[in-house]
Amino acid sequence: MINKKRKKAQQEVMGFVVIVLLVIVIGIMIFTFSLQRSLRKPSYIEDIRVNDLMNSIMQYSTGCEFEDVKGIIERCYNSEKCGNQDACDYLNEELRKILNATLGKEREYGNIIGYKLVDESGKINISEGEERGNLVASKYLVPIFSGTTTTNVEVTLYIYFGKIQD
Amino acid sequence: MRNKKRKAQLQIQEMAFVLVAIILLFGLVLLGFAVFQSAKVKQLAYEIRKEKTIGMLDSIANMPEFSCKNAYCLDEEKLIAYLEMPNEQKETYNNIWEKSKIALIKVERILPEESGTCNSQNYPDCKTYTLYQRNIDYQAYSTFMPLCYYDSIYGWKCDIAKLIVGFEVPKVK
Repeated sequence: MINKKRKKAQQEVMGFVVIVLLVIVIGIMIFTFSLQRSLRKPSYIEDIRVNDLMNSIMQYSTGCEFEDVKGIIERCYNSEKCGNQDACDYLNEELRKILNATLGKEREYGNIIGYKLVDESGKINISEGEERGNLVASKYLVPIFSGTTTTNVEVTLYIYFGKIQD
Repeated sequence: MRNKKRKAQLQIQEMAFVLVAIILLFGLVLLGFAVFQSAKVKQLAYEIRKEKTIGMLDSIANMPEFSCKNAYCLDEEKLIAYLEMPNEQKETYNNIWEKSKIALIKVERILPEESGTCNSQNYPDCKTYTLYQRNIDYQAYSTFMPLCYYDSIYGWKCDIAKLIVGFEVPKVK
């Protein structure tokens, strides 16, 4: 009689364990699904936009004898002038104006937290906003001709995105 | 004997309840799974449409009808030529855009700041080129492009523009 009762109790415990396991498995599935949704990767439209912006900046014709930005960078590295102004000062002013016109509104109302445009030597140094969030960067090599030698200057644009756009 | 029969009936009843509970539980799980799958399919359709639009941005920028000869940019004179094309010729392009589910192709000059719609009389002192537009719901994506033209005094000159492409939003039935 006691044996029969114990067997029945064991069976009930087993049933309970099975139900608990089932609930845990379903719970894990739901948790994994919600985690996957929250860890969405940055969209590749941002990559394209940052690269295209970098290309547009470099080709932009400035007010310095209608020379493009690449040409002003070359003037800056060769310690030349733009009118009466130092080419590096003019370059930084122009770049700040361009970045403000292209990214300014998105930084105020869109999903951009901050941006930074720099080169290796520190002659170009523009930054606005905060440096956090998802980073998308684009590099551009500008050839500098000085006399008989040619060197390449690497200019990098960093853009920090907050919530990634759908 | 009577007691035994009653006990057996009770056990059968108990089993029936357990079976119903299990079926309900699995039914709920299946329902959840179906909802999850349908959401996944909808998300996938959205992603595919988005990727297609983004790919289209590049394709349109690279079309010989709009692009520059030597660099990756939009040729403003070609945009003017496209706008002034006779309607019969434009129809061929319009059919291509419609088949590709495109609802809008627009180029907006950002720098220098200008305003107004562009035509052969006022370019480059203008802002917008609407190359194609259909009056339907669309979702738009944009990228930056150099917008270049030939200046008779200063030579080749480039501004910064935004290329905007809108894709038809499918109707939900």
